[in-house]
Amino acid sequence: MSNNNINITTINELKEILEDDIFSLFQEFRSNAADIIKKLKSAADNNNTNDVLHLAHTIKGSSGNLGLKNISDISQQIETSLRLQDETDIASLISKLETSITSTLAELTEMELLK
Amino acid sequence: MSSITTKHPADTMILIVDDDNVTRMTLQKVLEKSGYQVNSVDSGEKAIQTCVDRLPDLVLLDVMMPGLDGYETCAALRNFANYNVLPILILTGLDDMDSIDKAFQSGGTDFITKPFNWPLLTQRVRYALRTKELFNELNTSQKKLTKAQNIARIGYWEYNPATDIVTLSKETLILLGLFKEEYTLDSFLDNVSTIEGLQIKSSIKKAIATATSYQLEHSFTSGPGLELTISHYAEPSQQYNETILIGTFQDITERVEAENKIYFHRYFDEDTSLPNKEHLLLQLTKVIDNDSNDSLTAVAYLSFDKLRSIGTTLGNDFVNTFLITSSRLILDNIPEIKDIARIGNSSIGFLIKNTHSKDQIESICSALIELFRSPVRIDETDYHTTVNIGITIHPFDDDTYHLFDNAATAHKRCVTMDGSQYLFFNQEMDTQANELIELEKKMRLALTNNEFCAFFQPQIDTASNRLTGMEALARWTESDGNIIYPDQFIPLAEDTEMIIELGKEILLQACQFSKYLQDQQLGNVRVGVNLSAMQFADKKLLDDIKNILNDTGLEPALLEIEITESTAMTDIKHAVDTLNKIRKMGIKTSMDDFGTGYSSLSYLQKLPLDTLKIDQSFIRPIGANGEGSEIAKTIIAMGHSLNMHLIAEGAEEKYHYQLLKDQGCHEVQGYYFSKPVSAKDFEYFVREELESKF
Repeated sequence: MSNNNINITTINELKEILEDDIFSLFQEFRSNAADIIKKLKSAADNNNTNDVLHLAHTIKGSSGNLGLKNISDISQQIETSLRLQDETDIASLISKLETSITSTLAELTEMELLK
Repeated sequence: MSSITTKHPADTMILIVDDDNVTRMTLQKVLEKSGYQVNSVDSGEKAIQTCVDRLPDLVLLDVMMPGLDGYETCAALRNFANYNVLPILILTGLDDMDSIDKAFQSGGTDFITKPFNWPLLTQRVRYALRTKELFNELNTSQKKLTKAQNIARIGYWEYNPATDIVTLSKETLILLGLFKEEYTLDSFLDNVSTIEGLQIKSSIKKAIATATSYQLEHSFTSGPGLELTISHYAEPSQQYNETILIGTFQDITERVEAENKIYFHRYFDEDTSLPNKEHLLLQLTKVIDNDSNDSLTAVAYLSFDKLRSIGTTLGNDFVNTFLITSSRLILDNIPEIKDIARIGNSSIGFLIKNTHSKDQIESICSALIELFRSPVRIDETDYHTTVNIGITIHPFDDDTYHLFDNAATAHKRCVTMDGSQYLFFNQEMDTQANELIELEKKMRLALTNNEFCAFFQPQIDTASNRLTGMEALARWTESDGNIIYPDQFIPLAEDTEMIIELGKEILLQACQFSKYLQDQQLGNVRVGVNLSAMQFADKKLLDDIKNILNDTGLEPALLEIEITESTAMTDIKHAVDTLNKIRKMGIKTSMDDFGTGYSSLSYLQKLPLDTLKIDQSFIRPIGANGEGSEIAKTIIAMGHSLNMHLIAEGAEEKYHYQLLKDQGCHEVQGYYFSKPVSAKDFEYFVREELESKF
């Protein structure tokens, strides 16, 4: 199964190591993600670039490690933009990230990695 | 090195430091699945706190964290003592070369890029842990090696001939007490002697030229100036196309000192530091083993007359000094004697090597005897002694291992003989020596069986023709009635120190007998008792005399203690002192055998003596018409001028007695009146014969 949002190899490797423990990781990711999106929006509204950068970096890391490629890529774009001090697209990137999270989580549910 | 003992994963604690709880949780779960114990915290501050409580075996450290970031945390952990071996794996983005660089600078062990390759991550952790174990092992074994080197006192060194630089390891610096690590060869060799320096240089040269190793032992003056003995090893080694020498220095000073100590104890006399018998034997064995020519080797045993009795009064320190001084004298004056050793308490042994005739050996012995005709001077005091030498000649006496015994036998025989002061060993002596051993056994038994008794010879007062004194003489009456005379047992008694016991026994019997005569109303007969040199030197002498007088009840004035000139001259101070003490007890003192020794008038005057006994050798030859009486007359005249009581011995004829009486000699003793007889016979003599004689 090939998917642009998800790096299936990473997930399979994790699954092999963690077996059923993998479910709790995605659950944790889901509850964290909601929180992070909320924080991201509020930081962006307040023009708190540092917080935005840090939150984007965090979600990039955790999603990347779990093989959630699309989320990780968008987070990376936010991080890169901010490092280049280009804040023009940040708001749209954040909403793009939110969309990606929603669709990725749906996909994970479909793959029976999330309940 | 021992095999690597990797810790079991369950005993391995991994600390995860990441502010993202999803990543943290993922790492924790993955590592726990691999069996590790995992602790995870979300900040650098908490990581440091955790490490204070328990040091983890490995840390996975995120870079971007609020508060202390990864670099700061890493640097802080490294500053902890012993944390330099802790593997710290920095978690960083793949794209971020800058952060990888910074991770290393802050002390990171390795980096792991995100997103993680999960299967690889556990392997990286395993590798890092194993590296740490290896490092620990190496560290431990290096510590052990350093410790072992310190214990063995070994250090390394290198020499590069191309640059002429000697490089010393830290251990070597400690070993040699030096501070600088590098020296030119010449400046390094300043610390060894010139000869040893040359030896080392030529060894280095040869080692490089022939590609062989070498080992040397040499002295080394350490930085603080201690004289070390170094065992020095080196071998050539190729290094970047150059031949260098690498090697070790080992401080073997203590070992060498211990070896020297053992060698000393084995081959030298502890008290005098003179070589001992073992040493002389070694020299002798060498000579005999190398004996390719027809030269003779004399083995000699030399003793100093009376030294043993001097030792009893003046102590062993004196004997030691005497032996050292005398050995020096011999070595300085007799060039043929090079090997000398102390082989007994008061005797020395020596070798005369490379001689070709007995005559040659005899002339060396004569020179030795002549040497000791002059007194030996110690601490401003002259000590007179004569030497006796027993000699055996290799290969005439072929039994190598008994050469010393043979020399000792010849010596023993020489001591008991009048006249010659040196004697060569012959087989007959061996037999005699065995007889002597038998005699000694017999004598010890005789002492316990009371076979020794005092005989008495009368002394007649020339003015009154009356018996006034007697001399007590030791006789050995065997159980079968056979009488053995003093010349056969006194030397042996002196040799074996039985003389002390024997002398005491005769003194006791003499006092008892004089007292008995008095108790029997047979008059006050003064009794003269001879003291041997050893008895006279005995510290208990005065107490023994006092006890015997007390026990027997004899008046002290009826006892006369006789010593010979040589006994008195051995140690004139002691003689004066002891004779004074004897006199203070009321006892008479007498010099026996006067005229036979070497005492000078000045010595004679110093000695507190009551009586001179003129030796029989001056009386016996006197003819009927007074011929040959000059010496006797002179001695008598001298005695008068010194106000001394005179007793002449050896009067065999009536005209002897008459002459002595005419010359004013106070008392006379000799066969003319009676030979020495048993107490029983003496009593008879006193009762019956004395009056009828005149």
